[in-house]
Amino acid sequence: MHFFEDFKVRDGLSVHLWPTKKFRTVYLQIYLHSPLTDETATFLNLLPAVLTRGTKQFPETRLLNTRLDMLYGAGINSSFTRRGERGLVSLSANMADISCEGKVPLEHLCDLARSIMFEPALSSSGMLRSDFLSQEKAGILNDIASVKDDKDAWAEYRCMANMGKDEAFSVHPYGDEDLLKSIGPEPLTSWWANVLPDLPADIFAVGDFDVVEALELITRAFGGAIKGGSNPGPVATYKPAPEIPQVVEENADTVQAKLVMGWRSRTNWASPDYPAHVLANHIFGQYSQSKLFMNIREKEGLAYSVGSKIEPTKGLVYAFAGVDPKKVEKAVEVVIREHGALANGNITENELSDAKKSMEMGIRISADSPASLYSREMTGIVNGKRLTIEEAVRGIEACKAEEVAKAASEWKLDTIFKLMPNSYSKGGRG
Amino acid sequence: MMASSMRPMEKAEVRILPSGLEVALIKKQGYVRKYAVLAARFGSQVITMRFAGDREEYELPEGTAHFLEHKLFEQEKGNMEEKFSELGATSNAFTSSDITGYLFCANDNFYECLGLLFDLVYKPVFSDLGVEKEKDIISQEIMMTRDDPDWMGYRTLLTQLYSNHPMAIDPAGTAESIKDVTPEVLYAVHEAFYSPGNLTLLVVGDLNPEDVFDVAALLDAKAGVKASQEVEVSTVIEPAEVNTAKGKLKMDVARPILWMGFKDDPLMFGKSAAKRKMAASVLADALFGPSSKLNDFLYTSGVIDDNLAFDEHYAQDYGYISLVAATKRPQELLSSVKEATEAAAKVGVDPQAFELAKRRLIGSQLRSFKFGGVHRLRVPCRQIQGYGPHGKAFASGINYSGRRQ
Repeated sequence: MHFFEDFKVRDGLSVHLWPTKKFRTVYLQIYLHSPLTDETATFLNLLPAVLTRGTKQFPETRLLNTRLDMLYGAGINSSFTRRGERGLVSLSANMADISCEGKVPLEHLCDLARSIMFEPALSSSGMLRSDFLSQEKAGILNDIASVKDDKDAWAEYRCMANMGKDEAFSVHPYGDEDLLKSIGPEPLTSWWANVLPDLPADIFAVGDFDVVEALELITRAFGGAIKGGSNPGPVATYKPAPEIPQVVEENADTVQAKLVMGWRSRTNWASPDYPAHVLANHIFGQYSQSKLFMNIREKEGLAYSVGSKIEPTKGLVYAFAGVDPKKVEKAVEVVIREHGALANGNITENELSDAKKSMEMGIRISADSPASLYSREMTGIVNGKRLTIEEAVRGIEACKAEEVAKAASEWKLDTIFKLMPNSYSKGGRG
Repeated sequence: MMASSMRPMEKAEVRILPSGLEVALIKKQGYVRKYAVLAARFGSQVITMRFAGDREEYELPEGTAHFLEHKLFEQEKGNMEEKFSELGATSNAFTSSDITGYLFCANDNFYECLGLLFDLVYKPVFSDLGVEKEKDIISQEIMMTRDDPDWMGYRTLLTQLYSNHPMAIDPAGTAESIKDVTPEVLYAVHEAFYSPGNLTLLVVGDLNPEDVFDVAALLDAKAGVKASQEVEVSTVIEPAEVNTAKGKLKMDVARPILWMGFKDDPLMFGKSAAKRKMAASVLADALFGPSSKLNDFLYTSGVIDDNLAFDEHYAQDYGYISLVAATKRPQELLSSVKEATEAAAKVGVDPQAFELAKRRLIGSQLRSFKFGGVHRLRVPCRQIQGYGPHGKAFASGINYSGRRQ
């Protein structure tokens, strides 16, 4: 079943609507496509943070927050995210399904999102406000500094950065620290006025509304302002893994060692063999009966947190484990052994069927969460292939063990990254 | 103000089975996933117990409830997670200070899964070997939390708020304390606390209510578990004052994170903890919410760069409000919060802030379920809403998710 009805307002502006009584919240989600570079990430992460501080009508942050409270605690969130090497500005607005002030929730949400994007609070010289700018810059600088606080996420990012030194996917979505520090009101205002409206957009809405009415509300709010004429560039580039995987060790103030290993493949969401890859990853480490979970955690007792994941646009596979520092080499050995087993077709019928069932449920239940659904749809849009839930499930069901093994055998190990406690000197023993 | 209109809120339907098992259903029309949680009113805060009539009081190792939660997944017919997986379902469990819950999420095969859930909770099999091996896994789980500043800060706040109340104990215990867990300990607490009268089954999904209640009754009768011998859990006397007003924890973070706790006095709310909790949530929202004067001042003056995060936690014999923020200027944050709370105590809450807080809470209630009917257990609603096959362990910071990251 297609949840969303798709409408193309023009090149560069598409609208996807799902009218449903299922949720008690009404959702409006806007994605803007951009290339992924240090510059776009820095500007496009900062810009929405400043824009959500105040609008022409509610020029102070407290006034805007009070407005959100008046709308029964409506929520506005912005971020800069990515799919492979495509940057995405995300602006989401949602509110409880309560009609008030003579307007349905979607109309309130369109009003809010439009005024945030296109009618911001400006200084007397027509610039974005410098006080908002400096506060949000300070906030993002803090975010950048805090990335290291979550050691699992930090290890994963460091593995990715080491793996993709010269590739766009190593760009951190918070952007570049030095560039961020240098941004003043003029360049940011220029990005707002000239770059933002030209980014191609996909707008999603979910809730208890009439499709015709909803399309009209959205078109009226954004049809004039969003031009969407720019080219966001490729979604992924391919680079082969080195002959011999690189081993990188870094230190941090941790108790556990955080191990992350990264493989490259040539698959992506739109490839005919993608279902085999995604199923291989599932059997490898994506769920509680996976090879990594059963062996690293249940059999060897090496880790509590262990697993793997696949990135659907660039075809990268990561395995991760939080282990006792003394046992990190053993963990590497077991991960490589289990990948080898998978690639050699050591897959039982139960492993295959349990993984298929688990994946099938994972795919089906995305229908219970608007955020998972439009995230899925965006992966499809970015990769140029939309899949219904049934099509995705059928793709998984049709996979044979040989195809799964073949997929896993095509993953080439690129990087072994170890984040070790400070007490462990580099390469030595603690 | 113009009128507002909304569909009615969702309600839970609750029945008590002859065995004493409480069954609650929240019907979610159109939802694909179906959840069931079987939860025992037994959590990490139980550290001593005595069977009625016995003289002897048993001391339980810290972390026993959580250890039991891990080990119940191992049964005679194999690992229960595997059984759920074979049915295409995911399973999980969590331990908080006052409850332990076991849950699954299914698409098809809901009633087969429900049968497994009853087996899981009612039919323990513990072996020396299995218990020993679990200690390694739980030790790594405890080590993982040592690297998590959010978790460690929150746990430390609790030990500073409470002098005696064992709710401040880390649900996982310590690497040291769990060494004392044996199969005997696990059997004893299971017998004492896992009888139907001490359990609640909560089901959420697009299911026929009569089928749910019928099957639950059948499974409950088939299990045939009798009421346990009465157990006394020793109560503690907790002073109204905090244990220590200030404390510091050194961890590798980019900037200080400040936790603040406001300890309520159970003598003030007696039996109406639910009502008190509601009042506390309006108060916290009015004082600390995104449109509050305090939050705005702190944000625009650069003391914080994210809205204040706060929550209220209430049970029969304790209650507190927690507040957390990362800041490079902890002293300013502390004094502003103090000033705002003291002013509210003196002159009351600003009427506009009060109205806005109520609006926000009405909105958020409508978005979640209405739990009016489920009274016996504090229903782990956050766990249910936050739980997905790859959900994060610490969905709320209150509950300690046991099995899975």
